[in-house]
Amino acid sequence: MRFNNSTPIYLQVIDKLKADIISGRIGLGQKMPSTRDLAQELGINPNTASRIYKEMESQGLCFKKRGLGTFITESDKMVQKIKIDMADQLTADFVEGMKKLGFSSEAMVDLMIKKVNYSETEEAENESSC
Amino acid sequence: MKAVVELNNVSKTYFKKVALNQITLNFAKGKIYGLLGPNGSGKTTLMKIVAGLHKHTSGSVLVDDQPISYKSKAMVVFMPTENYLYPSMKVKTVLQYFRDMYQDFSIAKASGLLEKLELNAENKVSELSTGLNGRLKVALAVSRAAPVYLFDEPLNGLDPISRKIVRNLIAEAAGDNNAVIVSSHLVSELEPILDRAILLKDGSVALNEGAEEIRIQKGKSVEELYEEVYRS
Amino acid sequence: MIKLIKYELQKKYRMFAAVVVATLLANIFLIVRAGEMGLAILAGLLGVGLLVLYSVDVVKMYSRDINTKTGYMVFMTPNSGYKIIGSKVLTALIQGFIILVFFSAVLILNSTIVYGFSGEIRFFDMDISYLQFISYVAIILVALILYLVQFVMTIYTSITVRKSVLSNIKYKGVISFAIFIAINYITAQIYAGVDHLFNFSQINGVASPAELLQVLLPPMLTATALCAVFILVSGYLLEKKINL
Repeated sequence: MRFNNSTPIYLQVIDKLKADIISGRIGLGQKMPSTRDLAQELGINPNTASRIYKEMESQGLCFKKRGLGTFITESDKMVQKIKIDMADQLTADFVEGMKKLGFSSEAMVDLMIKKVNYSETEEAENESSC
Repeated sequence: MKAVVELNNVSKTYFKKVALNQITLNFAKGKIYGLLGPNGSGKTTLMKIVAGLHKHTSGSVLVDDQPISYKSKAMVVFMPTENYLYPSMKVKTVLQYFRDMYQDFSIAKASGLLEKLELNAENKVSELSTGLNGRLKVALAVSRAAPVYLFDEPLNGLDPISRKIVRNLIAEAAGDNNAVIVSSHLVSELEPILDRAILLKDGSVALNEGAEEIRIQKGKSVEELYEEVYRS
Repeated sequence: MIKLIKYELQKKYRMFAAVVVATLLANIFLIVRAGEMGLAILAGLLGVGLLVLYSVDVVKMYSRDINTKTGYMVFMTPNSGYKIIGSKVLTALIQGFIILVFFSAVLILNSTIVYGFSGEIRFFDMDISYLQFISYVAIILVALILYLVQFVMTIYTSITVRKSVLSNIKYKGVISFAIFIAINYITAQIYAGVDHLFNFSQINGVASPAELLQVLLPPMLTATALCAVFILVSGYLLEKKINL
């Protein structure tokens, strides 16, 4: 995994893991690698790997089964919550970014609707051409 | 956290030159330290003192609570940046040498690493390319099991693939029972595996902070901070 | 200690092999071509050649380790400076012994070829038994080895001083050489003193091997004692004052 060394690595990894959970790449209840293995896979420090799991545990994303290791949450509700949180964050970033560019609320919404329509038509075209 | 290496007001002077100036540093088990700085900042001198190859001029150096002596070398693994193996020795003889000289050396582990690192036991050291030499040095170091590991510029002169292999071997060597200290002037490649970054400037400690803490609190990478410190 | 010596000797393997091969070739050439005269030439050439080779190799054994990075292989091991120097001295003695045996074997072999095997050897005007001859040679060569090693130790010590105490000083090469000269002057005085003290009897005529041993024993013991002193001094400097 490639890192941006200027922002906390543990957060970058957690974001990636969240994305993997949402996309299904990591299944609910799946066993996660040990902290050492995780560190080795990603090329990070083992203590950072511990921090990742600790943080995720506090957010309810995973839990430890004593003697067996760390497991992803089995709760689908949790996954939905992550999705909503991420979507929320994406939107907040969007709004802030647009504000900085000087867009008004209506202009923002207009642009967004345009983009949504455009992507829907693109999808339709792709399906029909297959 | 117990310090396995303690430097207290350690100075090293050569006649007129001051290589290390009143350095006080503690290295704890279970952590990976980056000893960073440009050439001449004192990184190698500091490592060689802990390795017992140089004598400090003043201050105290403790390894595992004992004042440093030739016995400390049994607890310290030092990987020099230079190619230091006898050119006419075969790789397999080098492994036998290490097994005979160091009680904590696992020849089984080293032999296992040879294949993974594309090293041929029958080759003479002089026949190895720079990249293979670099890999061999690290393989020897990580096949020892000691409380202190010192890697001096382990990525120097290596191709990208060798660098990645070496970096991973170093990270793997780190465990709860040892302290790993890596020196480098190539910071970005090393950053993700570091617990703490120690920056040396002109023989003094300019910075000693946790790597993630730097990112969290200052919003900068260790490399960016490094550039700031040395620009002035 | 034994391990250190083992690896030192292992490193010399190629040199030993080359010497054996070269000697064999020279031997065949000289004896076949020049017979008796060839034996004398062989003895002379081999003697001088081995002496020079030995001295250079023994000095290199230490100077290489202390002056180049390959020395890290030895100096990173958990061995005290005394042990490291001691191992090199013992290696030098063993190496000297091997060369001694080799030299003697070559000469004895060749002289039986040239002279045939009789119980005696003509040595100038005297007939001496083989056993006596060997005893003489053995005693002289052992004394020679001891002295040579002691002499090499003066070189080792000078090198160590240069690398430790003098390491920051400008003219360290010159100064260490001056120290080398001084040390040897002092040892020469010591030998002279020992000789004056112990050998008041002159040997007249042909000395028996036992008498030869009696004369040579004091300087041999002196050489051994001096070696011990130099090992202690160099070892101390390596432990406390060296920066590699």
